[in-house]
Amino acid sequence: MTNTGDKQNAGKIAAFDALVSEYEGVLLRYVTRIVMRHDAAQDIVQDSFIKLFNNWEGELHPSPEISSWLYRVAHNCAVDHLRKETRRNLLHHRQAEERDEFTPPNRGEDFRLNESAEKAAAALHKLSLRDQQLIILKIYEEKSYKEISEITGLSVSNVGYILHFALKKLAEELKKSSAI
Amino acid sequence: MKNRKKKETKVLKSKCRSILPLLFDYACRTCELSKTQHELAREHLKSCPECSIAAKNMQSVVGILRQASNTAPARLTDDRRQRIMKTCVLRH
Repeated sequence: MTNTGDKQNAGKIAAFDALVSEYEGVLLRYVTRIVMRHDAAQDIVQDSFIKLFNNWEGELHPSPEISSWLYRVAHNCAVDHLRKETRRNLLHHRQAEERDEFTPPNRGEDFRLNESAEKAAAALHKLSLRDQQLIILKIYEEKSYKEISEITGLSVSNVGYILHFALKKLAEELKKSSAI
Repeated sequence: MKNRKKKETKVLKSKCRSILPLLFDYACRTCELSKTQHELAREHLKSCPECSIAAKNMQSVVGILRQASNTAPARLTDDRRQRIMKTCVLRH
């Protein structure tokens, strides 16, 4: 390989390293809210960056397009992870039933919250994954409707409607748990 | 008379529908609303008790959610970061 080729590759890898530093924190925060396990969130974010490197055809510099792409891929990976976990838990449940015992699956040992936060997290997780996604993006990540629309593929006005009804459902869940 | 009331309710409902997407930003005081949208939401809430209650509920829900601080670490672990960079180097 030529010196110029080596330099170009080194430059691309350095740019990607800087990109990982730019987005790793926000993605870890976002994915942890969905999967509620730090170790799983680390794996999902790691895989999302590898997918970005393998699939992104443009420049590897921080941009709104790369940010939306990463959120979208990390979200899909998180949903896949939850589906696999649900299947595993169902299997575990069936096997335990056969042995006449049942231990409910726990969230990660390292994931601890205070009482009101526990209630909020529990209520949030009773909503559909789409509703959770919109609430997390709007309330915790403070994304605009336009950014949420780019991440989710929903239209801007649909984001507004779905968010409104998701918050309404969440209020009902919180009332049931006497959090409000 | 009954028909008129029905028509009024329909108008109000359609007004509520047009306000819905603005309600979150109005209630949570985000910077997304234009001056006109802000004024539109404010005027509607003055005359619509249903939306006014919805906005108040929204404020308390968002308040509770924001208390739930995230304990996620801000960085990937060293081994995961090394795995990412190793994959990139190998692909080149």
